[in-house]
Amino acid sequence: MSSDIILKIEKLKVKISGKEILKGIDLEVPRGSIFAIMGPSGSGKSTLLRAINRLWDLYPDVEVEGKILLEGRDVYQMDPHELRKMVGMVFQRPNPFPHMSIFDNVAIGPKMHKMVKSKEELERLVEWSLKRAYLWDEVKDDLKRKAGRLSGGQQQRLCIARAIALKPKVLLMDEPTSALDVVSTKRIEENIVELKKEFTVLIVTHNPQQAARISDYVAFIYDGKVVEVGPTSEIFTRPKHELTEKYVLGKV
Amino acid sequence: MRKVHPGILAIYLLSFLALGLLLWVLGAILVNGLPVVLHYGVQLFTANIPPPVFFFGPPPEVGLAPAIVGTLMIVFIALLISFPIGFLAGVLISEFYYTRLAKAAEHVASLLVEVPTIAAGIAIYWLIVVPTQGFSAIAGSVALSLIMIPYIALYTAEAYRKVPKLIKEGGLALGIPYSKVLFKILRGLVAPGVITGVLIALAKAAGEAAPLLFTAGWSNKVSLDPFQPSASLSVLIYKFGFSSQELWLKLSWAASFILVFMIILPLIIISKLVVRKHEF
Ligand SMILES: Nc1ncnc2c1ncn2[C@@H]1O[C@H](COP(=O)(O)OP(=O)(O)OP(=O)(O)O)[C@@H](O)[C@H]1O
Ligand SMILES: [Mg+2]
Repeated sequence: MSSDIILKIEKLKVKISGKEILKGIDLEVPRGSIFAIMGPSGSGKSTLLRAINRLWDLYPDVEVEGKILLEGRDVYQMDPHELRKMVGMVFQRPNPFPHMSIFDNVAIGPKMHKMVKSKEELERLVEWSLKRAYLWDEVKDDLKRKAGRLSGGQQQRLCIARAIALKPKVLLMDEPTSALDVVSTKRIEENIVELKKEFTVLIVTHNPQQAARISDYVAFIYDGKVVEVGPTSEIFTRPKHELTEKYVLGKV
Repeated sequence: MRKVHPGILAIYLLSFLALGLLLWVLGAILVNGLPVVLHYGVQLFTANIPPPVFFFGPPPEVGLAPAIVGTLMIVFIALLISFPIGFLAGVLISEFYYTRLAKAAEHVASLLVEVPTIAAGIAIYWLIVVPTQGFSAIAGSVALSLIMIPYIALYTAEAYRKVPKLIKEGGLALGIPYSKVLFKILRGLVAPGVITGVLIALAKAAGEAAPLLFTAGWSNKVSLDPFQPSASLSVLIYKFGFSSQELWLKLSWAASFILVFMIILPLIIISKLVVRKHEF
């Protein structure tokens, strides 16, 4: 396989309580890109992300079939904890640990994975992560504040900081701006474009404009199948499939 | 005037009745118990239980120490036994709800809180007292554990269930093992619920006489050996409460006062404070 492909998904099927939600997904995500997954509500976007970092493992009624290769390694053969350290996730709604401080929210991952050797190193890593998530300036004076006290947009950026503190190879973002206002959305979008320099970003959105604004590649998913995939500029200017065209124009 | 539904009216009346009864009982304990406690003072907490006046004349010292120490020791050991079991059962019930073991545990716990507590005493009598050929504080503790475990389990399960799945998954997605997510990361979120369960279980256990009657036995002297029989406040109240001896009757009121106002009510008040302080 080409080393330019960091994540490769082959014939992925996911069944929830016997119902097939993903019906055979094939995708190749190039390294260092922003790869957007768009599609209408219920098409299986979240389900796809959760198969990549194996969050479905803990649900006995969910069956996953097919292959997912991260840097050529089958993720279902890996230690799930190692996998999830390599693949960060930002959820559809902000979910910091509300009872923990801002600092601890970011520090807990690196601490549990024994990534740092000293307190100073940990402090540097937390600062680095909060800066990358564009939250540092707003919280640097009070890192002991409880995360539950932050605004929704700040909480989501905290979750981004928490995820990148582990220095993952791939960052999965599930509609990270769906619960946020225009200003916070703009901030986070700029942020994602910056993150691309260090991480590969796989971002779910059901907003075609957002995909057009920030992504390099886009896949359009409908009813558990990939309808169309390619460079963003092509998909938006010359969609091959009628459904894609309708969706891009906001008609689905 | 708006018409009040008779059902609602009945509920109000019954609630007032229940509240009135409760206040009446508390008032009786206060009025009858507090003077005795004040009369004997510190002695009550240090001296042994006097023998019957009828045979031995007025005792030089009058105390409840064996019963107070007994209750504290029996309940403390019961906590040591029931906390780990109840807590883990609660986690099982909440987090592994889809397993057969969890479903069974939940049923058993729900059933056990309904079973009359004397059943715990009888069961432990046959399982421990008869085989070991003697009453012991620890047998009493095991009997009380049977009462405490389901409370701790159900409150723990509820505390873990209340944590949104999204937050648990936030921890898992960082590659943190499930056990660490449950026991480390969520600790601060579930602590108030778990502590409430423990305090309620303690309050319940401290007040029970029935499970101790056939298990812990009785002792007039202070004993710190868990393998020896031990007195307890609740059994003392039961035994002395029906006595014809004035001194024993008085002691049973004093024991009621200590048990209710110095042990059970504080536990209940603390449990309410814990919850209020942690509500988001
Ligand atoms: N835990 C679950 N149990 C049962 N069904 C589920 C579960 N999660 C998802 N589904 C079903 O799978 C399908 C796809 O859901 P998914 O959340 O992946 O959609 P989505 O594309 O992310 O939608 P949205 O844009 O609304 O977030 C839906 O029909 C949903 O009902
Ligand atoms: Mg979704």
